[in-house]
Amino acid sequence: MSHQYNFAYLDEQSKKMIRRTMLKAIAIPGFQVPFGGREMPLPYGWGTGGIQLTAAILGKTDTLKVIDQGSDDTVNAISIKTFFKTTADIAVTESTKDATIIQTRHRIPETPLRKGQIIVFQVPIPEPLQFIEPRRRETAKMHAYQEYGAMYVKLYEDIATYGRIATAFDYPVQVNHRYIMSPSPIPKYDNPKLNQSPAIHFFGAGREKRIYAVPPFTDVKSLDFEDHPFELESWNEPCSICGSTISFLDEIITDDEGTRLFICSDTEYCQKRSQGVGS
Amino acid sequence: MDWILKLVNIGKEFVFHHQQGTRLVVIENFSMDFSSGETAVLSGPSGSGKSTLLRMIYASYKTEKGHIFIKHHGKQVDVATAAPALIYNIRQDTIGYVSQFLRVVPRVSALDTVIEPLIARNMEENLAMEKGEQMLERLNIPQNLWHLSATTFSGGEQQRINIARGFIAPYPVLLLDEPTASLDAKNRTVVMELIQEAQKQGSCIISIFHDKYDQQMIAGRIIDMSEQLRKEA
Amino acid sequence: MTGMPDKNNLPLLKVQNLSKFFGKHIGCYDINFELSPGEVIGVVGESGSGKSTLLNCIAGKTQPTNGAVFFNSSDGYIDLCMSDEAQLRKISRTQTGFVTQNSRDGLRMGISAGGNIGERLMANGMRNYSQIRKIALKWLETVEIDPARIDDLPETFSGGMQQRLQIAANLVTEPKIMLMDEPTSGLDVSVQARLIDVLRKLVSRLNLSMVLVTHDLAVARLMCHRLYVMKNGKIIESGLSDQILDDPRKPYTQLLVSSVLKP
Repeated sequence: MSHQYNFAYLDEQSKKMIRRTMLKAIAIPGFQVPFGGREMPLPYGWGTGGIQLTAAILGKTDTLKVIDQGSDDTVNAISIKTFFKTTADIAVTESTKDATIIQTRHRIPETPLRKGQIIVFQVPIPEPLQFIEPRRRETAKMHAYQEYGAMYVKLYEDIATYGRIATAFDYPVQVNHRYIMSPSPIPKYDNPKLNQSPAIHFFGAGREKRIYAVPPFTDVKSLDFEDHPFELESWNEPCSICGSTISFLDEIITDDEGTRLFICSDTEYCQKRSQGVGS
Repeated sequence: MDWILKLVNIGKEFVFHHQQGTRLVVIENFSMDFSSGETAVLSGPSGSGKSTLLRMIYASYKTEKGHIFIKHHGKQVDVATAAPALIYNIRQDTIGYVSQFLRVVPRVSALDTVIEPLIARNMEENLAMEKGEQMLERLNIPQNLWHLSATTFSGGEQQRINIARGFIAPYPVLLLDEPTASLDAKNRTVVMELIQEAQKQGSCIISIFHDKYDQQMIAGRIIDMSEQLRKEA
Repeated sequence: MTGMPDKNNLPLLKVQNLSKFFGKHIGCYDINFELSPGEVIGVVGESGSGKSTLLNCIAGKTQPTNGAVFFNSSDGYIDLCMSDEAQLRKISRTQTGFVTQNSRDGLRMGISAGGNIGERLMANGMRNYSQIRKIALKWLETVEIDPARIDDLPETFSGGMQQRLQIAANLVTEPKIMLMDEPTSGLDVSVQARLIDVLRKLVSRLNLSMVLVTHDLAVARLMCHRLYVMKNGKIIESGLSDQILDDPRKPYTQLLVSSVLKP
């Protein structure tokens, strides 16, 4: 029995609705636009927001890359790729430079993105103020009136508790000198990649039903204090496989004695480097 | 001599709404001039309005009828109708009042209570404290009590704090309501000395004394208030 | 008595014909008063008298039905009732302070004491951590909270400490007016005494103006220059504090004053 799906699963009206939301999001960088999230064939928490975004913009000539924590071959990445291959029959790739659309969970690829590429982020909690101010009515006002004192309070608390800003991922940023946004749980290492990037960045939260965006060449600045400036993570060792000292490394425990390896989280980048191929 | 305080046809009536609306006229149609530097003693039986009069002058009681003119910073002001901010200014600079009871503020030390009028007049704190300590010594308050709050003091000690505070800064008009009540002979003498010093400084003193001997010591004009004896209307 | 109001300045706050109706129910009705710099006024009355409603209207937390609240702000003399929400929120973060009856409503209980005090500073653009911390420490000392507790959560503080923390968090931007809704309610008397002492010192040191809503007449006498007595939403008597309390003339005021038990 073959399944007859509309191209990329969603019906055309839904796609139009999502695209309208995406245009709004582009028009107001960093602002969370509510949208009528559709029922998807997988539960919340598995990337339904990102999938709806990708489905809305996917075309017959697109080439799709899907990564999860930087890797092309985890179960989730493969499942989502298969989903789109089945429902849209489009080309898929592991190469960052060859993709037109990249859907990602929790990482930005090391290979710099170029003009014309679209990257779609899967977002669990779109509201950066969520944990300080749980009332949605209040956070809406805070964004509207640019009252972001509470956001800095959270960073202050970190420094007071840990001596430094302890947030390591989902590090809040200010977009286009206006809205404060959660860049999704990417490591803070990836935050600078958002700044003045030639690509379009879309963020989709399926459960919370919010879409936001960073258009190309937009200023994106990570929040910090004058005397506690934003800092990237660093490692004492290079990647064990390709020797890179300029990528985000995962720490892997290899045995019960605590032996550990550091390996590039972006598998495609790591592979290309080991093969000596330019990226 | 020019008047410093001029009472014109003042009247005061109390209405007790929750006691069958009983009305009590305490003062009726009372007029009096007081000169700068003179001393007056209000005399009369209990209920003749002596304390009430002092309180009306100090604006603790509202004057509904008549005028209470005072020369404040060279200008004539009617206490009966003056704005609250002005009343505060008058109480700070022009009219002093020593009541029978000290209103104790918890946690504020006896010394701080005494020097408050000086601080309000922007005197430098160390100087104010020096003066306060001198005054407390004069009134025989033991040094170990100076930095305690007066909440635990005896009635006599509290009254002496009250007196210290009342006399520490000079006033053109000084109202004294039974200042020597609850004091022993030694401290009464001190109070009399303080009053005499104030007289020498030119204050107009209006006082109430129960004791005939104290009245004589003060040697002021006696104003008989017995005509104002409490009338039920 | 605390401080001496300056009679030469324009009113800092002028409430004009202020009314708030909740349907047919009168919250407050035709309220008129003025507040000068350095003055503390008390609004006294029993539960249901409308005093909290009045305070909330002045603070901009409740939109009044009628009337105006003129405030001598840094941007000129404005009517708070006609201000848009953005302006109101900004004023309430910088130029006025509001201390709620229940600290839980006025503090972030999950944020440290230092963070609570620093929030207004950060909201107004301060971005230097050490500076924020220094200011927070100074204010903790001013309200007599042990500075070593700067990183503790308010949940671990006693009721009196929480109230003092609220005061510090509001005063940090040196507002012109502090609005206080029953700040001493529910506190033990010794704690209350300390709070009042702290407040009195602040009023005289900072030339602070305050509108203090309380049902406790002893607190009103200690703290306030003038009193307004409210009943059923209306002001029924007003005047100097000692005058109102020693010479109450209206029936309700007499009832109120005579009902207070003296130990």
